[in-house]
Amino acid sequence: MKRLTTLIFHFYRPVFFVNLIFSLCAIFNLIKLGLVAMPIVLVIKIFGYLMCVGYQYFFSAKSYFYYRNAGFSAKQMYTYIFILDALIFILLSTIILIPTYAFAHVKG
Amino acid sequence: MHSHTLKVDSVQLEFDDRKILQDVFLSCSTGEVVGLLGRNGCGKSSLLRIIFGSLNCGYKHVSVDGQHISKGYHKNRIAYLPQHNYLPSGIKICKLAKPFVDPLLWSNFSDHPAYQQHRYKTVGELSGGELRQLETLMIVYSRADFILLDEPFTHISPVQADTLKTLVKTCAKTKGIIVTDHQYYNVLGVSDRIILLDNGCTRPIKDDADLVTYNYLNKK
Repeated sequence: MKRLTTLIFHFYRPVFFVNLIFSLCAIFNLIKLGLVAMPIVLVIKIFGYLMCVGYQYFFSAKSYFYYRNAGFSAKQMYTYIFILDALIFILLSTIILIPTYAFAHVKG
Repeated sequence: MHSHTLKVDSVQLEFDDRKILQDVFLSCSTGEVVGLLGRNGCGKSSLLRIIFGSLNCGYKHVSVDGQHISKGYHKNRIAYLPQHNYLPSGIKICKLAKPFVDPLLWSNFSDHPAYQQHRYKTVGELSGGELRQLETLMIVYSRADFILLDEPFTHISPVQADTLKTLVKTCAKTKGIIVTDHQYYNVLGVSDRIILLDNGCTRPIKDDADLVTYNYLNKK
């Protein structure tokens, strides 16, 4: 498990900031529009994932062989990092949105 | 230690209606080094990538101990050293090596001078030869039972080539190794038997005269 975790972090590393920016954009929409922004959030996140696949494909596709030689296909690695990214997004949303909504509720 | 056998046959590969591979039979058991020779563009690298599972073809049958495998790299059955560099950039060699190298072989790997010297460097800080040497080392010491080496002697010095040959011979005691390179004398020097890929077909080679017969070598 520790081995797989290390490989996932290696694969996630080059696209972490791109995905973080898309996550923050999505959260900004949630703050601004509330839960009605969910379809927009979904579109933003999917666009972020496509950017991430494009980046890996054009700039570091040769490193797929590193992961294959470790026993994992590129599809598996993408699945793992998108699950990880979704978890990070949920965590970030919770951390940012709960205080924001609480503050708005107190304010009236 | 259990012995394993890799068998490859019925490979069919075409590019633009041109048949690249059509009558391939290749086997390799743990404990042996098989040399794969062939002219430029004859399909050596394609064949290795088909066995590894990173290149799709019209048809193939790859098995280990009689069990069909579709992707050689699944469950670490087969490892492949591609012609190009494959290590991800921006990460230290020691961090890349730890989840990659077989834990049972870790002490042998980590004692190697090339690893000792460069373990705290990233890919971008290494020369082409240093990187190639480390990448080859990591593949040879990986968890796989079968190792496919595509041009391992390219970009390295003669001294490094001799070291690599010794390493391949040592690792072949527990693994099956298929090696291909245009430096045929290095392939001949390290292999237990030779297969020539000629017009999409594999042909077992007994001696240099066979290589001349199939126009791989010039008559002396």
